[in-house]
Amino acid sequence: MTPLLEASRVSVHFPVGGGWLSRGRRVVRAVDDVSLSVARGETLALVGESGCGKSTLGRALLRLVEPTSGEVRFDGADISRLDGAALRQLRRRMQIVFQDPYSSLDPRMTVRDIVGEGLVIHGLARGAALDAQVAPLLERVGLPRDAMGRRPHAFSGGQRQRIGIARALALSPELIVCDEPTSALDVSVQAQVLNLLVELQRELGLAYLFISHDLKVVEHLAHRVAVMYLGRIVERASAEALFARRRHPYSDALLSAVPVPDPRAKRRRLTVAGEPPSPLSPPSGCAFHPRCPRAQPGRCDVEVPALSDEEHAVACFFPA
Amino acid sequence: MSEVALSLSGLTVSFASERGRVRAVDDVGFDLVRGETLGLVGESGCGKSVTSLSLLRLLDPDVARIERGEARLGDVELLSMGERELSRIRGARVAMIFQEPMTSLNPVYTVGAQIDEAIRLHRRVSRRQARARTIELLSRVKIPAPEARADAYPHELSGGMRQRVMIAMALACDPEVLIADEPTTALDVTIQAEILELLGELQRAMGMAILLVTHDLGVVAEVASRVVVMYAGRVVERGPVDALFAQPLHPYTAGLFRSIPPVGASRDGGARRKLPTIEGVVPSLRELPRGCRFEPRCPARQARCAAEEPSLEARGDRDVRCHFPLA
Repeated sequence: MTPLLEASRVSVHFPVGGGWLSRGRRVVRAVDDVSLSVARGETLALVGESGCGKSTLGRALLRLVEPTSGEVRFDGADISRLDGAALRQLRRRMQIVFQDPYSSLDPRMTVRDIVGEGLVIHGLARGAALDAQVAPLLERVGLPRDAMGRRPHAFSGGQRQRIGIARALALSPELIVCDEPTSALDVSVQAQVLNLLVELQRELGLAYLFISHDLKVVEHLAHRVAVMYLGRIVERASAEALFARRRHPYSDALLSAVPVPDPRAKRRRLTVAGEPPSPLSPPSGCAFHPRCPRAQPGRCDVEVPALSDEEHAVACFFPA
Repeated sequence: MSEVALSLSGLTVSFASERGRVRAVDDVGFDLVRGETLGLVGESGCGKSVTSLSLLRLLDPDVARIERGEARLGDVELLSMGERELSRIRGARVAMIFQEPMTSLNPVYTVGAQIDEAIRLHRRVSRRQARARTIELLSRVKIPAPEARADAYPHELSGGMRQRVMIAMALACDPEVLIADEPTTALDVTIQAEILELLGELQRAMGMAILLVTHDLGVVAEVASRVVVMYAGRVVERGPVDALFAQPLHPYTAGLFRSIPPVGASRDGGARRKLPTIEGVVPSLRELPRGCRFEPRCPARQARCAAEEPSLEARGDRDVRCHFPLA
C-alpha cells in the first residue's frame, strides 16, 4: 500500500543575508536530505531540540515553506510542483495545528469564522449551512455550544487548542501536522488534548505528523518516531523499539535527560558535553561528533553517516 | 537541627480587577531550609509565581497588594521593611533567576558589565576587583573561556549560556536564598539537565537554599527534597518529595501525577491508552467555590467538601488541605 505521505531526500536551505557582499554565499541547512513516510491512520513523531529542523520539515511537507530539493508525495501524487487550484485542493487533505494557541487564532474573529474559514474559502458552506457544519465540530472537540459566537480571548489555552483542532478538522483532512500542540499547556490540560487527538485518530482514521520535543508525550502517542539532530534524521524506528533501545548516542542522551517524576528513579544520566552546534557552521562529518561519547577521530569527524536501511534505522558509524 | 533560611507564613496577595479585588494567593506559607531545594509546584494561575515575586516585593504595586503575611530571613522581615532596606537584601541575601534570561539581561551591555554592576551595587570594590570576581563567577558556572565571554553581549550567547550568566549574576554576593522561577522551562532537555546539575553543585558548594518554582513535576522529583503544591491560590499539600510522590494525599496532587504520560507503560498491544485527566477547569479567582476550591473537579468529593473549606492539617511530616485525604 502506498503511504499517505512520502518524502524523499527533502532539503530546506535558507540563504543567510550578511551584507550585500556575502549575499547568497552562506546557507543554513535547516533540513538536510530527509526521507520519511506516514501511513494512513498512523502517528509519526518528529522529535528533537530547538533548531533541529523539525518544524521546518513539517512545514515543508505541507509546502508552507518550499523545499530546496527532494520530492514529497501525498497519496501517490508528487505535490512539489502543484500550484493554484491543485495545491488548494491538496490543502483540504492536509492540515496543521500550531503550538501557540494564542498567536495562531485571530483575536478579531469569532470561533465560527475561525473554524469555518476553510469551508468558506473552499466554497463548501456559508450562512446557516456553515453553522450547521461548525456546531458538530465544536461539540466533537469538547467546546460548549455557545462558543460559536465568542472570540478566542474568552477561552483558556486548552480550549483555544481545541478551537485550533476543530479548524484543522473542518475540511475532513487525512493528515494533520501537529506542531508541538500541547507544549504550551499545563499537564492536566495536556492530557485532555492528547486524549482528544487519540480519539479523533481512532474515529476518523487520521494520520498525524506529530512534532514534539517532549519524549513522554511522544511515547504515549506515536506509532513510529524519527529523531532529528541539526537538520537530519539520526534514528527512526517504531516507538516500541526506540523506547526499548536507542541505537544513536544522541537519542540516548535526549531520553536520559528527561526528568522523571519519580524521586526513587535511579538516574542514568548521560549528559552530553556542550551545546548543539549552530546550523550556520555545522561540524564536519557527523554533526553530533563534537558532543558524542562514542566518536572516533578520523571517521566521525570526516564522513557523514547515512541513515541505515533497517527497520530500526540509525545514522551512526558506531550504533548500539 | 536544620536551619531555616527563610520562613514564609500567611502570605495573602490580592490583585485589582475590573470587578473588585481578587485573591491570587491566600494564606500561603513554608519554611525554606539552608542547603535544601524546596519545589513550589502547580499549574498556570495557581499563584506560585506571585508567591515567589512577593518574597522580594517585585509585583507591580499599582495592581498587586500584599494583604498579609510574614517572610522572615534570619533577623529581618521582608514584607514590611522599607524599600531602601529591602534593596540592600534583594540581589545580595536573596537573589532570583527567571525563566527567560534574554528578557532579564540588558541587551546593550556586555554580560560582564552587568555582573560587575551587580557586584558593585552591594560591595565596595574597585572595578578591577569586580571584574576579577565576575570572571571567577563565570568560570564557576562553567562558561568556557570566561575572560572572553565577559565581553559578549547577551544575544551572542545561547539560551543555556545566558541562563548560566543569570546564575552567575545571582550568585555574585553569595546569597542565602536563591529563588529560581521556572529556570529551565525555556531550555531544551539536554541543556536543562546541565543547568539543574549546575544548580545542585553550586548549592552543595555554597550551602544556599533554593526555592524552585516550576510546573514540571519531573524537575521537582529530581532536584527538590521537599515540595509545596498549590491550587487556586492555596497550598493544598506540602511534604518531603519521596513520600509525596509515592503517595499523594490530596486528590488534586494525585490527579496531576496521573495526567503525566507515564514512561514505558502507556500502550497495551499498540493501542494508546486514555490518559486519566482532571475533569473541568481551574475555577476563576472571582468565583471561587465556597468550600474546598478543588471540590467541583474532585473525583472523591462529598457533601461536606462543598460546604466547608478544609484547613491545612498536619499528617506526620506532611500537611494536606482535604477533608478526606487519600491515605
